[in-house]
Amino acid sequence: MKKHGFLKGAWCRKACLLVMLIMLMSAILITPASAASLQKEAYDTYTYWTAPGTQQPSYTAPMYEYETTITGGDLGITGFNAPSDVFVDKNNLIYLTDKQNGRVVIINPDYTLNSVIQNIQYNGETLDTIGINATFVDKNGDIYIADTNNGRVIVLNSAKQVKKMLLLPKDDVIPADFEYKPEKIAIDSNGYIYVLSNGSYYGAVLYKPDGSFSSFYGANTVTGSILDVFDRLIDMLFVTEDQEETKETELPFCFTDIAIDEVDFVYTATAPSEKNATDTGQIKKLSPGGTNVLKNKTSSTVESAEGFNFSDGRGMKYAAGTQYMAWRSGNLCSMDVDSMGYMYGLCQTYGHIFIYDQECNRLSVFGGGLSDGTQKGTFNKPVNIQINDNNNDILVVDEVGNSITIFKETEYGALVKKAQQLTNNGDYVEAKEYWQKALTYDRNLQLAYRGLARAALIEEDYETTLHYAELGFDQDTYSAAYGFVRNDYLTENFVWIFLLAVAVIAGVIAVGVYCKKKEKKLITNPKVATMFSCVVHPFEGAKQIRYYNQGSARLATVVLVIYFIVSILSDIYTGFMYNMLDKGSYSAAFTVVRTVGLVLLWSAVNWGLTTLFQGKGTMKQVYMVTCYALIPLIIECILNTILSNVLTPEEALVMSAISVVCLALAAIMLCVGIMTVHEFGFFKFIVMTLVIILGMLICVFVIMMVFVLIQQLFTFVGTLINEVTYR
Amino acid sequence: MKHLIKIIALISTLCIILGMLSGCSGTEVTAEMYDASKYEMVNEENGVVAENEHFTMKWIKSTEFYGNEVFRAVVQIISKKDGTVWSTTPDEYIKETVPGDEWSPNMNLLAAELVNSALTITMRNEEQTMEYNAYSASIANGRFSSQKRENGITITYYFDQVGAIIPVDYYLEGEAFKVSVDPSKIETYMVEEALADKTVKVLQKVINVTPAPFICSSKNTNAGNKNDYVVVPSGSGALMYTDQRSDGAARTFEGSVYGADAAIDKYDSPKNETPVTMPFYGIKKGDKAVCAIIEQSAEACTIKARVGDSLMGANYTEAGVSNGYSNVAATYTVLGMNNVYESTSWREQFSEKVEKNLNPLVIGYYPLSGADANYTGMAKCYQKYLVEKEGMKKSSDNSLLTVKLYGSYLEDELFIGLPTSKDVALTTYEEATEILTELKNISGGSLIVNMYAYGEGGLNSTQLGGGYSLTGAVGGSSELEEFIKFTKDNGIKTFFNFDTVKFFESGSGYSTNDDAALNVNGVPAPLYEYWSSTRERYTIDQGGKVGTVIARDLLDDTVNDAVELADEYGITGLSFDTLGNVCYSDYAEVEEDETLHKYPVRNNMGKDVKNIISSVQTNSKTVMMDGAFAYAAVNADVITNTPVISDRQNAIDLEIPLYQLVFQGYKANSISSINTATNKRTQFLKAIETGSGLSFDLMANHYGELRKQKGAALYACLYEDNKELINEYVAEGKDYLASVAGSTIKAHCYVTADVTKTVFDNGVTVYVNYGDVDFVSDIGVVKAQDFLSKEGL
Repeated sequence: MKKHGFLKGAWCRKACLLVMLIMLMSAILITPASAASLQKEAYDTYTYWTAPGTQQPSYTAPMYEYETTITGGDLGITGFNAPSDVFVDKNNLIYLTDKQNGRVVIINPDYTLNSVIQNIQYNGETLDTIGINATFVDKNGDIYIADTNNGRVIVLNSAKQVKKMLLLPKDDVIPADFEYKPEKIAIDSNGYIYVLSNGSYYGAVLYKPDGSFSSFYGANTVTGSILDVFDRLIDMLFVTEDQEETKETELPFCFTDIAIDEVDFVYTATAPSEKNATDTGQIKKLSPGGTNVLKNKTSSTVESAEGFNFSDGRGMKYAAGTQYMAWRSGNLCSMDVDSMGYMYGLCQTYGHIFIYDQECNRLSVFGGGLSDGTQKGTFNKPVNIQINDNNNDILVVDEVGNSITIFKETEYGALVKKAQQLTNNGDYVEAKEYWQKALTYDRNLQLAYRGLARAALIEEDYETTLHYAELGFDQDTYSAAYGFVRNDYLTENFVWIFLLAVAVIAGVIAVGVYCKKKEKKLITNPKVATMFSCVVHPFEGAKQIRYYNQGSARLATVVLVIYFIVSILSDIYTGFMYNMLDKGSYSAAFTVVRTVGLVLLWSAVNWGLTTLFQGKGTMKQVYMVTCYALIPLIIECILNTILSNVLTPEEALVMSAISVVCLALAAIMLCVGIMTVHEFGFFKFIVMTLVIILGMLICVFVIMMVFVLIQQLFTFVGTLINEVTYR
Repeated sequence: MKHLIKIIALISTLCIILGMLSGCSGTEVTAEMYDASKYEMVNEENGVVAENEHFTMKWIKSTEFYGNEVFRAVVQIISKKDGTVWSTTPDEYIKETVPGDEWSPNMNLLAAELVNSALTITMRNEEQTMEYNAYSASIANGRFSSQKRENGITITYYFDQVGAIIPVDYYLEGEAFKVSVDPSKIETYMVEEALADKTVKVLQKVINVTPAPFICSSKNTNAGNKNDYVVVPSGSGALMYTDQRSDGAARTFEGSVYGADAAIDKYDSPKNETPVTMPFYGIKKGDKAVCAIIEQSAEACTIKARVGDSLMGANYTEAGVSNGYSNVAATYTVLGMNNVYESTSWREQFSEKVEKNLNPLVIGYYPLSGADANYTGMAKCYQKYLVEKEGMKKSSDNSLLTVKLYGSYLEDELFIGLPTSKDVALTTYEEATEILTELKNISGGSLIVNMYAYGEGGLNSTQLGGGYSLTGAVGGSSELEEFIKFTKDNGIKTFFNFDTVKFFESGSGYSTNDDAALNVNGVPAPLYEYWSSTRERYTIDQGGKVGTVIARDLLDDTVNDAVELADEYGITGLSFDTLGNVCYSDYAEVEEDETLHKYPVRNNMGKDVKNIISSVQTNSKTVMMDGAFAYAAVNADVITNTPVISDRQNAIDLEIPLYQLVFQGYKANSISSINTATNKRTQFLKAIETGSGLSFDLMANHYGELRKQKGAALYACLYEDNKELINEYVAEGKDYLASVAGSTIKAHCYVTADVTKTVFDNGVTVYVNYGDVDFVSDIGVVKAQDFLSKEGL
């Protein structure tokens, strides 16, 4: 979405929405478990509606349904013990890495036991495999087992005989203190082997197909803020070498999972840490050079996916143990990618499974358990996710539940995937019928509305485009179609619009001429006339207020009230192309603060401080000139609100021009007015203005302190009342 | 200034007093000290203690030596029909024990104790909750007494260590043998507890009791055996096979009968719970089975099953280590509780009062054999119980089609920036008429409609009963009259829904403070909202609403208000979506006796609701219950939204239509809606499987803002989207469903993992194939994802 830089209100709205709506991250709620409906699946399926500045969770039709859970007992073997990884080969065989049992369990497509790899013999000895973490089967049928505790990757041939071992390579690139603890393995179509080592922040260890070391690949980086720069500067200036040595070094976050797609792009999952509190960029798509090329295209501004939250975000504080409260945050510990390019993330905290397309559109979220999954499809500690490309099943390993849970794609899920793939490929028209069918399953499907809007745009059905684009919060497509609709309207109705315009202009001219001829004044009240003269003759108007008492506090208040109302109307009625207002979370309180509050605070502080510096004006006069200076802003608000419903963002230059002119005029009026009423020179006015702004900031701080104290007092009184009531 | 000082002094004094009060929250222990020597253990002679035409009841008290002393205090019931023994300690377990082995250190001692315990209890002192089994705490010490009673025997267990005396009655009554515990007869005393440096006097309270946990038990079968199982009435009903799998792990189920208590607080809502809908369970072993019906105080019970545990009761036998035992039992909660948050953590807070006015727990065990020894037989047994003991009568036959029409919702609006809202129609009376006209033609008139969310505020109504006024957004009085006339003229059974239990705002004469049910802490039981994504509580400081449930005393008033409104508009059908499926406690004090709570541990909820429904029906109204628990379903005229899935706990092996097996043929019923189900075809086939009516949730209009609504599946309810589906399924199932509309189910079974067979009492047989491959049955080929029926086999 192209926002116009000077569109009055847009900045404020953007800031307001950003603050308020991010805080109000979730919009819909669920009622307690004993709600009306008796029957419910063990978990809900939802997704997030994307709107500028916010994401709102919304229930959606399930793309996957629970199919089955497999335990060791189900397969006729001893129970799994902390399974850590699952892999599905091209023959549809499922390889479960049974970590603490030190074995790999191979499961047939019908979920019966195929075989168990354990007690692996090598050089006449049985290998210790307790603690193995992952298994990968390459296209030749060779089985790669990440033996974490023993710092090796065991490679077996299809006959389950040891073929080779991948040990810590000897290379200058590898630091001397590097601990090799292979945890995850992925192999691309050229046979390059990517091994994630536990605790390694250098990236994946990359082996060539012949097993020799190639390089480290795709390490995470430490992101720094401006505060970090200051911190570093302070360190350089004041911290001694001894102190420096004892300081913790901030290291990049380790990858926790790795996957490779059909065209050899490498994907990684990065679990959050205490430092990475914002939980963003958990999934990466790495280029051959190791940089993240995943883009977030969920809004019109294409951004790097580094700033995109692939999980549910930070949850609530909850009682952890008996002593303290902890933040519960999403922990996207594992991911996989399917042959269509859809990415699947697994959140360990909530037990949620996320499905994303290559543009970071979140298609579906399901699963659950919140670390207490006693029901099918929920988890205790899910640790790994895998897609079975043969049938699109999702497999999730639960380390504490000692099981694999399998989810099956629904008809709706297949529809949505197909439709979104076509849409992402630009085959909008072909995607249309899939989206229409998908909508019969789910009217909450934002992607369908967006897809249909684009299809209608291609088909030049602009009215339909507007309809769907508005439903799908797709401002870009809406804008693209709107220009055509408006132009068609203008073409069809040109005659009467032209005549109306001519009539209005003629009427204005006629009234002007009539008044001039008859020497009649449109405004007879001198105070009202002074107010309007401030707009065209700021100096003269200000003098009238200062020296001839022609200002009116009542009129000024009326202007202020009108400004407040117009600001609200602007928030509400600015065109869809520029603004999407969530009526449910909108509050006029912020508008009150930024209009009425600001003017009153400015007036009071201005008077209070200028009095100390020989300012001659009274508070009433300051208030009047300030309010009168709002008149251009009122005009700007009205004009831009109207124009925002007519002009497309490409044509918004007109609105910018109006904003610039009106803002400049308002500034001049305020400047001249304050200088005149206080009898200040320009330099003194500038200095005093800076002082006044500082004073206003102090006032805001004090007001907030008082507000907090009052709030605490109310809470205290409330507690007292409760105590008295219930005792 | 003087005034200010006075005010500060006043506030300080108040704070000090309150602080002192808060420090006095502990209970002063005043109970009598336990004196074990006061109680002489008198026991009946071993042998028959009661007998009737069906059973012989035996009492066995013995001390045997198997290397260690093993004490027996067992009540056995022997069927005269086939000699089957049902026993507090499994008869097979007693018989298989060989000298010297039972208490081998390789065996799990606790598991061995539990199998030998005819009672387990949970007790609570000031600090912790502990479980005790009667074997180690009472029987092994010889601290129990037995005394004959009418048709049975009373065994009193003395838990000397914790100062509790609990009598359990075992008696014969007709075709059942029963076990009963009367909370008013439970005695608790203070005991001395030795700490590291001192001895303190402690009064422990009994939280719950589980009498005869192993009457419904069986030896684990070998892995893969699917003939023997435990039946739990979770949601639609479910089976847990009693096979002992290679990992030997216990598979456990726990379900509170009638779901969670709304008066018990919880912090997160991590899962969706499909509750236990009926108060019975059972076990099948070979050609024998027993159905246990919780005949009294079911509301306070939790059904717990444990299957496949290789340790539970495993013995060294001549053949080696025997398999363990599976069991299912009901745990009776006798002490009210709540979860409370204290500065940094959550803890369980138990009632200060001992709930002496609780009804006794009565569990009736009905042995089954032969063709009845399966879950169908158990369902028939419970059905018979409902007919004979609870007065269940046949209402009308099923209607082919049941639709829930959504009326309106509240949309946020802004008036000069001020937040306001307005009712937006989802289905007006006029649109409802159009939809029903079409559906009537499709269904041939066999149609029921539930007018849902037609009160003020529609789906977002915060007051009880939608404020007991109908929203004008869907049409005025004249449109409503026309609509009612239309439905009457066309024979469409119409019900208007009222939520008479939950509310978030005061209004219509009911206050969220004064008219709410109280929790154990004596404050209105709070209902919280939860984030749809993370399922954590949406707290008040985040803007979350806190609702409550109506005081139990006022339940009939809230329903009567709905009846009055219905009378005003000539509405004859009333639907109550929460009355029949929200079961809760109310810890208001009894006015005459402040030591008692009025409705602790959900006492008498079922009885109260039954009476309320009856009183509505005496006002010439018909009553629809949505997703009704058994006590509500018994008296209702129509049951909708009947469950077809279980709670889906991990231990569940197979879902069965137990609910439909009980109510089909007696109550007009329809399954939960097809169009909102995860798999629509499966849902349709579920209705076919049991002959239930087809159900759809519909609305004439859909708006983008509906995505914010609480209802989880409103996204799939637009009538236009579902028209084709309704046509298809109605056409497909019409003739068959009509043929079984009023028939009870005679038999039901899984022929394969994916194919079921149902036989109705009128001879109609239906095979339903949920699988992906065709199935050849005795009546023909059942295509994949399809069904095949035949009349009069």
